[in-house]
Amino acid sequence: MSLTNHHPIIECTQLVHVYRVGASEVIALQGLDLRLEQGEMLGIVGSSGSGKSTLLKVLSGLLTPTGGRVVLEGDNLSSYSAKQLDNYRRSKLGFVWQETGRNLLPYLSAVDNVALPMKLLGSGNASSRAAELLMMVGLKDRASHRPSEMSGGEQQRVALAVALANEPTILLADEPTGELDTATTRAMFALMRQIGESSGLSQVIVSHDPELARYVDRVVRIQDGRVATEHRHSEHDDDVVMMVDSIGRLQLSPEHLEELGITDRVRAEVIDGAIQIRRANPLDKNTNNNADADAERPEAGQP
Amino acid sequence: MNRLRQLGATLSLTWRRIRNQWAATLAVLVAMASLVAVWVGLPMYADAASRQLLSIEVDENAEESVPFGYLFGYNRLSGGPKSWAQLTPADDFLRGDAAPFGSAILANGRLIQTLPYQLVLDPDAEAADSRLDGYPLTSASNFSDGIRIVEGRLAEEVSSGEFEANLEVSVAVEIGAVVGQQITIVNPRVGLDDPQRTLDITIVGLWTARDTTEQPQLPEERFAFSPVLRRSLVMPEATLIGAYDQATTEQFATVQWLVLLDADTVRTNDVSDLIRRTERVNRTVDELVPGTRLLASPVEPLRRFEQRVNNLENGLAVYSLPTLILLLAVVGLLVNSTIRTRRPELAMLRGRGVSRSRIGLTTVLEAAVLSLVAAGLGVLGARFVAQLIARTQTFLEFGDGIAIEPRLTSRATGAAATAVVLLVILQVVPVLTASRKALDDTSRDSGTLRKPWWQRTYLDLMFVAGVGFFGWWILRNDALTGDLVDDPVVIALPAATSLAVGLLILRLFPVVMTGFARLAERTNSTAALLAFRRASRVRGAVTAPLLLIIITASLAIYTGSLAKTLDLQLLDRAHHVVGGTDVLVDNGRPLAGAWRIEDGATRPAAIASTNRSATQSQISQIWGIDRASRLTNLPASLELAGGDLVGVNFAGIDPEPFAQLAFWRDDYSESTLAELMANLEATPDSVLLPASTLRAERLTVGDTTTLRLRVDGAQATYRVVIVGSFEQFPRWIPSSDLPLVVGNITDAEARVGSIQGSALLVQTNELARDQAQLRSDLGNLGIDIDQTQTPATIIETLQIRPERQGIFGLLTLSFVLSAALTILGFVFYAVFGFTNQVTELGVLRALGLRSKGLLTLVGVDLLIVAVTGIVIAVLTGVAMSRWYLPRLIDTPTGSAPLLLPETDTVAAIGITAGLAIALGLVGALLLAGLRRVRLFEAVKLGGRR
Repeated sequence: MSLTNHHPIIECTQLVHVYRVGASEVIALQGLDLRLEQGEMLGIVGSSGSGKSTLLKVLSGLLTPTGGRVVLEGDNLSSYSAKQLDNYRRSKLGFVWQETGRNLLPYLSAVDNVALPMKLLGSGNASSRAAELLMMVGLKDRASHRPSEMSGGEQQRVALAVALANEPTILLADEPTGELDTATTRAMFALMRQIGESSGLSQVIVSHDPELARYVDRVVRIQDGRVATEHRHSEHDDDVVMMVDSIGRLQLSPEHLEELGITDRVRAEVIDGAIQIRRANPLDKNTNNNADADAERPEAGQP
Repeated sequence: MNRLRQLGATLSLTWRRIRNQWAATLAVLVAMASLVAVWVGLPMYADAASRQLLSIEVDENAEESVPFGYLFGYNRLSGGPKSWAQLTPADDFLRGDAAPFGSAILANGRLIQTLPYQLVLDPDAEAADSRLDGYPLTSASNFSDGIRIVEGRLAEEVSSGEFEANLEVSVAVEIGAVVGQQITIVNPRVGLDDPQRTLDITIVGLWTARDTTEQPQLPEERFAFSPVLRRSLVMPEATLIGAYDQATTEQFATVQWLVLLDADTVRTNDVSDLIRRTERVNRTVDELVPGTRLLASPVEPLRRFEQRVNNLENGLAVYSLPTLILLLAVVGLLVNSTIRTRRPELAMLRGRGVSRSRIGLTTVLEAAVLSLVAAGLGVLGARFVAQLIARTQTFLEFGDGIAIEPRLTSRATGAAATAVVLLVILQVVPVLTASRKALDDTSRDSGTLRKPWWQRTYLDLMFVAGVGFFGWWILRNDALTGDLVDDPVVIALPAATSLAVGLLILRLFPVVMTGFARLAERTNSTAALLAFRRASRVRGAVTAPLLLIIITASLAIYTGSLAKTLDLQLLDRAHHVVGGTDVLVDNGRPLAGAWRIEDGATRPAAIASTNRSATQSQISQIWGIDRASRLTNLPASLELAGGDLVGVNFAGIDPEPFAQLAFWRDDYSESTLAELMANLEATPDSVLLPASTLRAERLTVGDTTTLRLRVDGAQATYRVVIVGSFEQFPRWIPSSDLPLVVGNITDAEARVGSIQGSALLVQTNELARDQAQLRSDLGNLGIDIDQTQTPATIIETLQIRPERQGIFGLLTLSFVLSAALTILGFVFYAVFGFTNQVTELGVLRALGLRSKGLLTLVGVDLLIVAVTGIVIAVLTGVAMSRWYLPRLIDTPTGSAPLLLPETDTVAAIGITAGLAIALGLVGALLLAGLRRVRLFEAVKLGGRR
């Protein structure tokens, strides 16, 4: 899918979020920049605590970021009133969580769970559309079953149907396959891909699963609350790029750091129109602060 | 339409959740219904019991021949004679509908009387000296119902011509009138040649008032006994205000209107209105017929009734506070528990864009429906609560009680409405709070280590200090020594103390458990070590069960002791009033002066007016009577130090039988009753005196003094020897009676001659037949019994006094409810405690702790809470019984004997054992259940939550 010339449906700039845990603070997002194009299927990976789930909560309006902004189709999400946020979640957003307990009500059948968002919106033909959605996710024959009577994969497919019930423009999924086996995971991602292609739905999927890259347009890896790398998958080759944020910061992957023996200082030099980064000599530590600063400020447009 | 659909969808979802979580909903419903039942039951009982109180007041009024209603009278002295036409406005008003009186009218009657005539029995005797003066014509409503025709017939209404009248039989005998005799009445107020000067009347029948052993109540009964009616010629009403009124220009001298109210229809709320109406009616009647006076009204009994009802309601309100607060707390606890399970739903709804206002609206509707259902069930339960209280005899004891018909009064309805509003708030607020935080999962809870808010703000320590200071101040200043009903602090202070102890224990609990954990480290028991460690860090979870156990059990022990103290006091008081097992009192004049029963529940005793020829041995021969002692009370004077004579009461007894049948307590005297009686018997002209008198007058046993007895105007003065002393004596109330001098009745008789009248203290055995037979047997010996008093009847009367019964009923109900809640709280703790530590148990299991060890861990965990709670509760309960009881309650003024505080150890053991068994059973059931499902499976299952 070509994303060139597409307008971003979501654009995050310098997102910062700090959790307060008792007297201490945990910085979950540290100036994260991200764009989601219309109809794009974006995968987000990263280690535990890197800020993936926090990002999804911010995108869904469940969490107001401590700093930065999220622009949703031209509007700043932070300026939304509670009512606008409710409307946004009700009509534009679909959400699939990792825990089925957060997706489905245990005392409703599959079809009732799917119909619920539509009924909450006052839709008159909720039941028939719910049946259609269940058919789409391949669970027509499980319509009358309750979540406890279904497997994990089935529950997540019902959750997907629930998320799609109100014909959202954005689907957010937080580890949707976290509790599923490999085969079910693949089926789930394939289903999401298929839905995205057929409906033009923009999707953000957070996952640990390496399989994710095969199904999404783009995978960004979040590290320490910032986007570290971006991986675009195509039929011909895999293109992994490192991300420079809007204030010029660059994150090196742990593998690179280890391979090059980089600890906390590097030396960056512009050579032939490119920036070369190499490990700084320990003796340089206190002698050339400018070099350090240079390393953190690569030239714009230079990958 | 769209909005309706949206609301419908949310409501449908709510209904499905309720249906799915029926057990939790049922638990909340039951708790809420219990709350409503108590809340509404109390005013229902108060209302029903107030009818009892009103009937007591009405009965007391009736004994004094005052009707419960209005008696208006017009008398010529206040406005001169009036024609019937002049009296008609008042008559129409007072005999009209009930509206002016504000209550249902039970009966309505009037008595109309003319000015007096002279009676001429022999028409031929014209001489003025043969005329009998002062015989008016009178009519009374429903006259025939209040009298009995002895001879002849009832006078009939005549339209004209010859008048008929009835005459009271004794008056007829007195004046020599007979049935069928025609008499002439002469009007002395007109001239000799006035055609209205004479009127012929035929006496058609003689009447007498109906025999009745009870006080006359209805107008016709009252009029029949009225002296106004007795010495008059009684005509039918229609004749008097019809034919007679038309035939003469004579006027009426007296009219009485009696309007009896139906006491059953009067409610507390009506009282002030009735009192206001009384003033209004009185004013209106006086305006209609000036000079008409209100001779009797219900104002006084109504005011007393109002006062007693207020006392009852206030007492119940204050005593019910701890229970209601406890119930509210439990409802809150249960609602919060259910909210916890609703959080995912709320999060999901909020996540899907359902606004807080819609969640709020749905919750309000849900809460309102649930609360209304609970209110419906609660109102049904309230009837049961009211009836249960009415059957209460004492703490945890029920009997026949009083028959009440609880009604949903406006006050009870108000209470129900208040309860519904409160319950709605209790349900809605947590949901709204939860829905606000439903999306905010950023608060990474630092876990259970956090102290509860009241500990963080030191509120608990402030409360403990406050209770401690208040208790110390009250006890130090002896600020409260009162009655159970008048001083709610009698229960409020112990309740606050229990709570304070509970809060203190909660604060100390983690520290103590840490200590135990360190001790457990030295043992091989991993389970015990883990259990103590868990107990030392889990704070919130143990709060409810520990507080419930401590408060419930300690208050139950205190209440048991309080009840035992008051019951024994009641028992002793009844025996003290009677003097022994039974006292049979023969017909005679009232006792002079002392020895009265202050409570108002029983009547003053009476003494014999006839010589008693029966001897002790004759009385003892009666089947069923073991022994009997005469017991008289005479006014007397005693010479004290300095030669002054002071007024005393002399109690004459037969020492030998009295020693065996009298009621006696160890604290009555330093000597035994047998010793005192033996001294009286052995020493002629000897007396016993109150120890207080001896101390005040510096007299000692062995001294002699002078006693002067007065009997029927005669008196005898003689020297007596003091052979013993007492602090208290049967039938004597030291605080209000004159000093008592006890002597041998035989010696007294020797000095003053036969003593006219004495009570007879009798001890019966199981062979005694019914009282009628005893009366008959004693009557055969010349002892006519007017009434009997037994401790049992006095106890029964006092036990069902609504004020006492209400409070004991409430305390019983409180205990039953709080015991049930304690067990429920423990069940919750056990079940939720287990489910909450499933992960922890899973980890322990993974680390190699065996199933048996896990079971031990869960068992020890429960044991720690149960044992801590029970031990602290027992210590607190016993300490409060021993420390507070002697200081908080005192002998009621004007009663005897002295109140002796008792610690009810049987109740303490019973309550403790019962609670321990119940809690043990809960724990055992949980452990058995866990063993059945196998703990590791349970852990695995729990892990999926």
